[in-house]
Amino acid sequence: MLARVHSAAVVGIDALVLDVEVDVSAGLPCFNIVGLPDTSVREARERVRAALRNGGFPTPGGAVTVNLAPAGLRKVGASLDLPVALAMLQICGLASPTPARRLFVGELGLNGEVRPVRGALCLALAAREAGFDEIIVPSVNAAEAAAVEGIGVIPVATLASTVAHVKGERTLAPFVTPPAGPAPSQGVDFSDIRGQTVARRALEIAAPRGAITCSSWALPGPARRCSRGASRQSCPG
Amino acid sequence: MLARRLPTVLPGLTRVESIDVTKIHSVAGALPASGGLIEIPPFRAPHHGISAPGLVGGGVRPGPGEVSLAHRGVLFLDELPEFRRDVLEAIRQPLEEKRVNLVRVGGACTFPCDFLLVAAMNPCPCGFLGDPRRVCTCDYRERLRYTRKISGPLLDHIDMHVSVPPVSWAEIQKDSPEESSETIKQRVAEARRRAVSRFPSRPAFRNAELAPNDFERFFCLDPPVLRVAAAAVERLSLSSRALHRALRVARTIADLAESERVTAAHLAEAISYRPRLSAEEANRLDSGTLAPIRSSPSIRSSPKAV
Repeated sequence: MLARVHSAAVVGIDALVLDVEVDVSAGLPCFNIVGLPDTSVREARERVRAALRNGGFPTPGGAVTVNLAPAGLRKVGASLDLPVALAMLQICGLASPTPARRLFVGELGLNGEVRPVRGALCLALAAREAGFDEIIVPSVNAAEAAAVEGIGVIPVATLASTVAHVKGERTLAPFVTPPAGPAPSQGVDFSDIRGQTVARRALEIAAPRGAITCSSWALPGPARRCSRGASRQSCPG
Repeated sequence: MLARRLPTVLPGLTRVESIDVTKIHSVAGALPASGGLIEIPPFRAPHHGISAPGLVGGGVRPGPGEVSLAHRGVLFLDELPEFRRDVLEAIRQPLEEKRVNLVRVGGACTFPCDFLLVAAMNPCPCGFLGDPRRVCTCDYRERLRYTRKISGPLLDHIDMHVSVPPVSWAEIQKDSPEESSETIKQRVAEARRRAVSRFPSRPAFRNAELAPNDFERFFCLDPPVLRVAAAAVERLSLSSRALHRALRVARTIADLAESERVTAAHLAEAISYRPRLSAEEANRLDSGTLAPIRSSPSIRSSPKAV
């Protein structure tokens, strides 16, 4: 029996959309992940098995093979736990086959909770580029992923609520970014600093120029004239 | 202290910049707990014990380093000579290219790193060199070893060099409030608007991106400005690259002064931020055998002073 769920993995600062394929065949019970999984991806089998059992879901018996396609690219991170678990539940007949335009990412805890992943923004961007309508993300990552317009971001907290959403029993609403408040204060201000006219002036000149504008200074510097060490930074007089 | 306040005067990030910055922080797992987009320029101040992969990125599975986490913001390197020399040399290429290319067996990835570098150092290991009230106890070799940690090419990338003398008691006691970040930010934003308005075809243009031929095309430099430039090249042995860097700084100084043209005073101020003395010259200067090149301590120096 075969099931397929869409997911994505981070590569550098971008993400690549993947197919998570799960096959269960008769044979001695085993659980293999293929498709160049990293250690954190390979360990998904322990997390997924415990999360299914503790969440009150059945685990398929027999030989389970998980394939992460495209198989030639190294997969990193725990964000593939949730799609692997959902594909296994599809095989057990508990979760109906997911609509094609839905993508899942999330790390699973042993108790079935969905934990945050790294790079949720990159994953959501990749999902939109690939034409998906909906991305299911851990609730902690929802605010970040929702910065991507043109794709529904569904925050989930547990495997059970994800399954309910997929089956259509309890549909979750897409995350809505709350209206931006006033910019948060950075807690510091130039008015806190007494004197240092030259250094202030240098920073003010550096600010609008943007990158590669650099300033360097010494503390304390020479007050009278340039000296050897200080000349490395400055010549005020 | 001062560097920490630099992001408070930088214009906020545009939406595109904000997404780029958030992507890097998200991949590195460095997003604040509140989530959402990063909308203010980031400020990164790594400890000087940092390794080269920590600073520019790396690892078996390449991840962004501090230079990329400082993308569109400020990278502050405190106690610059305490960083390992190979670590400091590693930022030269990213500074020039504004991105880091990491190549590993499994593939290559590119992380952007368009940051503003601010660094601080003591004048010598004991910290009192040039202080009128304290005596420096370092000998020549100690000072040389300390300053030699920073290579000439790295110093050349640093456009502005200033000295920060101790604050006097009179200044500490002063009643009048200092200028707030908000006021400075408005001037900075106006200066950036002026820079962008010169190149309508290039969004988010900044003066640091000015190419040498842009000067000839867009800024007719007056004879007095050319005289200052000639004096700088001849008497201060400024290379043409250093002069172009000074001209870019001068353009920003003119933008801050809301001036259409770069004047001689603007260029003179920009040149005053160049490091000009070699270690040998400075040592002679320190021992009193070489006269100071400039005598005016004013930051708004007149052309005559150069």
